[in-house]
Amino acid sequence: MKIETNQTTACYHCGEACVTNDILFNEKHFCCHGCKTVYQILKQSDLCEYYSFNQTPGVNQRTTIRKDKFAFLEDLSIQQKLISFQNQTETHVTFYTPHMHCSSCLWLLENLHKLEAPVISSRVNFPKKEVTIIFNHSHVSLRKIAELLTEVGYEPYISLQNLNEAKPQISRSLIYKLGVAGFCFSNIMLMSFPEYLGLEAGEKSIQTVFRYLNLLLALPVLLYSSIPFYKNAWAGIRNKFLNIDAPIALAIIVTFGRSMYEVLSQTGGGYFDSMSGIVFFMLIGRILQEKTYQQLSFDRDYTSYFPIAISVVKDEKEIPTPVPDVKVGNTIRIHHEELIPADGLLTRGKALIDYSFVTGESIPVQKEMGELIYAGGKQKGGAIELLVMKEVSQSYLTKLWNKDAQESPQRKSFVHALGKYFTLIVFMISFSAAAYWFFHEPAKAWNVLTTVLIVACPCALLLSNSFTNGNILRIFSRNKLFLRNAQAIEDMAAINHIVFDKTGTLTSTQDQDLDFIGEKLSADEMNCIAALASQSNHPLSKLIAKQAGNPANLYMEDIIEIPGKGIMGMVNSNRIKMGSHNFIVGGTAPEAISSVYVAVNGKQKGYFKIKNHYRNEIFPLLKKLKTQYSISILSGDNEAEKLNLENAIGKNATLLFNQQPVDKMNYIKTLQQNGNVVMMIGDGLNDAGALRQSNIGIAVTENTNNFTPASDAIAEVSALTQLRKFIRMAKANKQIVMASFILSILYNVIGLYFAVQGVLSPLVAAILMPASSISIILITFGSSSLVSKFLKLK
Amino acid sequence: MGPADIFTAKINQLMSVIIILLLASISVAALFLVAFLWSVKTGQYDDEISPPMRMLFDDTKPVPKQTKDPL
Repeated sequence: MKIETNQTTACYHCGEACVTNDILFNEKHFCCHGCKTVYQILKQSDLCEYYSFNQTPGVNQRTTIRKDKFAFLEDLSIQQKLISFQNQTETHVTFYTPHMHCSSCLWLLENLHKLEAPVISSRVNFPKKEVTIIFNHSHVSLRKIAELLTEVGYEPYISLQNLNEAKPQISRSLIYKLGVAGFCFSNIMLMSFPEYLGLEAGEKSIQTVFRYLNLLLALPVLLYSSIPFYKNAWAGIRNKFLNIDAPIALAIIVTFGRSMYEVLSQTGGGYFDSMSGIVFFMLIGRILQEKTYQQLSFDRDYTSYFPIAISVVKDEKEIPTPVPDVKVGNTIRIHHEELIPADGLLTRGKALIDYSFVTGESIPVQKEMGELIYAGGKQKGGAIELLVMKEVSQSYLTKLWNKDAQESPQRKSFVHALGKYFTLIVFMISFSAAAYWFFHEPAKAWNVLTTVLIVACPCALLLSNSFTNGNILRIFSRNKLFLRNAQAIEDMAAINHIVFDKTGTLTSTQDQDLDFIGEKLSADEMNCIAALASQSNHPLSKLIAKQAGNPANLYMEDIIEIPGKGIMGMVNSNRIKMGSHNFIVGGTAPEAISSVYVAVNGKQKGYFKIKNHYRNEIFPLLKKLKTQYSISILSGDNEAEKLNLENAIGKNATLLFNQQPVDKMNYIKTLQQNGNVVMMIGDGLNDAGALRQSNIGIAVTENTNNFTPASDAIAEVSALTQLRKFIRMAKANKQIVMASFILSILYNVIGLYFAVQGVLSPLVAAILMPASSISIILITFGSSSLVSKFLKLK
Repeated sequence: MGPADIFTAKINQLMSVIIILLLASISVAALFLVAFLWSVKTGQYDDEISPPMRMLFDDTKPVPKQTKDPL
């Protein structure tokens, strides 16, 4: 039963391989009727320029939408909720279209008026993935607009629950504060120049004018622009701990106070420029930080951030569908150990749900047919089918992922420790310097106390860590590696041992050779076997389900899957059992090969022989990794592949076979007890325990619902071959932060040198502050981008 | 008092005009600040990704719409 791979062409519209169909139209290939239809629509309205901006800009149109999907838009009360403006001639409405991802999409969506005349104009907001359409409602209805968008491949994602929630707004108040601080800072600097350049000699009155103007200009900075720092510092103090904003807030207040005193008593010009400079640069840092994180969390919550696909059942076939495309009314199939992504009614199968990720309760709950099952639980047992009642909320899944992180012991970044000490050290220096001068030259004591507090700037601590982390997280996600949080970067940098799971991780589940050896099976038996196999999510079962037969509409019950052993159940009143040799026949297999044995109605029929097909480039990767880290490969299979693997990667790697999930976890535990820092790479199915146990666990997905909150990172298959580069980047993170610390300490030492002696002039302070802030921003942001270019990441 | 000193004294006398210049320049700068705050408020900086792309699109002449062929 050998299956040959076809030479496949790529669809002109969406770029995917034309595997099942190959539709030829206008000399172009399309993978399905849907894609071809979009092309036809565009061609008729002369909009084929769509394809000229980007290669294959479309999104796959394989799943067709119900005709009445948007019928609810004819209801006036619902229209009222969606419409933002309406008068006699026009209506304005804003739709969220998550499929928008490139300039072609932008072009098409802003040229909707060419497709449908009553559309007057449309405007795209790209970061929010929204399109605002102005149309003449007497010639076209709201429903028709939504259907039009769907026809060209940009289905609007209308969720009535989300209508009441506001979408995340980039906070503007920080930008206002920055504008004010910038205005004041530049003008203060301008007016401080005469003072620096020696105005003393001449006009006393003009000097006073300059100084008072500076004082006035510094007031908005003190009272308005610095508010974020006061707020954070106060929040920290209330919780009895000094965070990084405390020294900044202190410096701002002390500088202003000291300068105001100097101006009012006419003893000097004050340090207003330094003060407004600190505020200006710190605000820039904070805005950049917030922007990075907001983009990251917006991606996670609202777009297809995770490469998770959910099996939507259509005509008994499972179609992997990305998360935003799963709609209310779809039937989805959840296999053993899979996470339930959306609330749904149980329509088929025996549901035994483990809600430990949500409630912490590990005893599975049994659910009846027709009962509503909430998202977040894991199915334990055979596959079940659910009728989706509420759309998948990716933000909910993200919350689950991060919730799991909070439960595991908090590993605090090394920056936090440094931050705490910084303030203490600064205080110590300033008080001891002041005390010294108090005994030698009392006049200087107050001067020294305040200038030390002014010049010591923890900019590096505040900026560098969050910048580099944010930047690195985004670089990783562009390269298809999605980390749970910034702490994972540090964990990744520290590893010295990598553990790989074999089946599904090193081997690909797509192209493998499948052979049945034994008694000839009837077509009916083959279908039953395929049906049983489709209930399991094990890579070998999925392969059998795809290639063995047609599992349409068979009656199944009593499905039991035992991880590491096999699966059994009743299909069409045949008792089928599939699994390892030990499970079916008993004892170890005679031949050392990857095999799945089958027994029908108690009679052993033979076995499926499966050739392992390793992913491209995995062996070179392993060989390279071996030079730097210790490698282990764990497999649930028998020792069939031992020779193959040893030949491919050499003798130094540890190869263990016949591993049950619990064995894998214990192996990692032992490694850790011997002082190793372990990274585990698995497919997230049977490895949840091992992934959690390791210091950093990466779940490799390949278009299936493998989301497990136990992992610290999710990687698409293509990212796996770049593993070395990712680890190198994570190590670079620490080096960059260290470099910026050292630079910042250098600046601080220079500044303190002057301050401690009591000779810190406003000029020196004014130069040091901006110089240190700018250089640190440049170094952290710039280095991380440079490193990624150097490593040839996207 | 030599000519140099008289000169310096005169300059110092006239220096007060600088106050007017100062106030004028600060007012102009303040106008710019207000313009900046207003432009942020009306959302001009919310979408920075589409304007660059939009710039490069061609204006095409409207083509008379063909009747749809039966599919």
